[in-house]
Amino acid sequence: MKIPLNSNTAVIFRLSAMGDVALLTGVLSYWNIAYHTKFIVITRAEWAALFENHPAIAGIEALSKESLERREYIHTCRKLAEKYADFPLLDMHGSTRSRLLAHQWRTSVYRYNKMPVLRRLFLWTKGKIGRNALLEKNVCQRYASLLCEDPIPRHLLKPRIFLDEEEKDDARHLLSKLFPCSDAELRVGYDLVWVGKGELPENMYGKSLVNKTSLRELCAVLSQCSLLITGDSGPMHLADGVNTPLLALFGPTSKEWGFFPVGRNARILQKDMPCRPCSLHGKSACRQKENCLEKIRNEEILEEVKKMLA
Amino acid sequence: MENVLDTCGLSCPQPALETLNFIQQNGADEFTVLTDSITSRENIIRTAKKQGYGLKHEEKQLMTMYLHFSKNA
Repeated sequence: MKIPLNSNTAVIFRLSAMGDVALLTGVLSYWNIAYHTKFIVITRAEWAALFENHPAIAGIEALSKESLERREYIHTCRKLAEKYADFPLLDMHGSTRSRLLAHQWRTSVYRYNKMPVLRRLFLWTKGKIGRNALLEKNVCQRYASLLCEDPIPRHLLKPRIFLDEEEKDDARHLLSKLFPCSDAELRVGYDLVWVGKGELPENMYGKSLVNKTSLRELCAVLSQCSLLITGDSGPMHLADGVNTPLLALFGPTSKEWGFFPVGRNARILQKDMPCRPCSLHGKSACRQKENCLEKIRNEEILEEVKKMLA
Repeated sequence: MENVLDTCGLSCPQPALETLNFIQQNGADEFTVLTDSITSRENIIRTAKKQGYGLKHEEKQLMTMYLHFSKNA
């Protein structure tokens, strides 16, 4: 281990986003097996379920929205620092909130290298500076390098969501209700189910579980699917975490950001455009006539889907 | 040989993590892991146990240990 933790248990801090939190699950497995360390995870209440049943987890501190509000957060930090006074803190967020907590922490604090300057330099210089350094390690490897000396093979750090048999059975049941066997003979194409949160346009082909599943139910549903088609999103990492093949369409973000899925059954569709990546988180408004995601034709997606499901 | 994982030559903790990958991707009731390291052996057994698999029996041939796991062991 690169740094002596002086304890068999360490506290991990990562609040959001869901994908980043999911990416931690594989790193914790690696550290747990390599160093026999257990972890107490501090995260937002909505993402806490990702750590249920995880063998590397000794405890979860699920922070509510209220406990993260400005004034209340100072008290939250004090309480956490007092409760976990004996354990080192691994700051996997590097945000203002994590620094405030670190300021109150009573023992050692270690922070992972988020490469904030290099990522911005890469973005501002349109890829002239920092490409190789960014490509060298994906986000999981950057997390892992906090404790590990060598770059770890990517596939060993893939996200890991631990579902139990009951959760998988429930998902099977849910899907069988959506797609009863009697329909099978009538269908020519694939069973398609929409998942996630948000608004689904009307009259879309397929069935919808949008806004209808909890986070673990979503993971369980994904685990029972043959393929997930997705953008650069949280569910992409969840599918990787339950070993479901996935086809990811990358547009505003790119490989340098370190979020490409690493599972053996993951494929990427993307188009080379000089404006990519256009922002750190892919949320900038597009000024192109045809944007990077629109350039990926439906036929290409379908072709890839056919290959993956063959 | 579908349910056999060869981790010989890999350094710790790689064999245990490959075992975890194997279990999660395969989901078989029984499988065998090959290893050539005592430390890895312990790690592999511990990892499999956490996933609900017990060591059914083990054999040793020259430097290689054959660890046979089963869900019901």
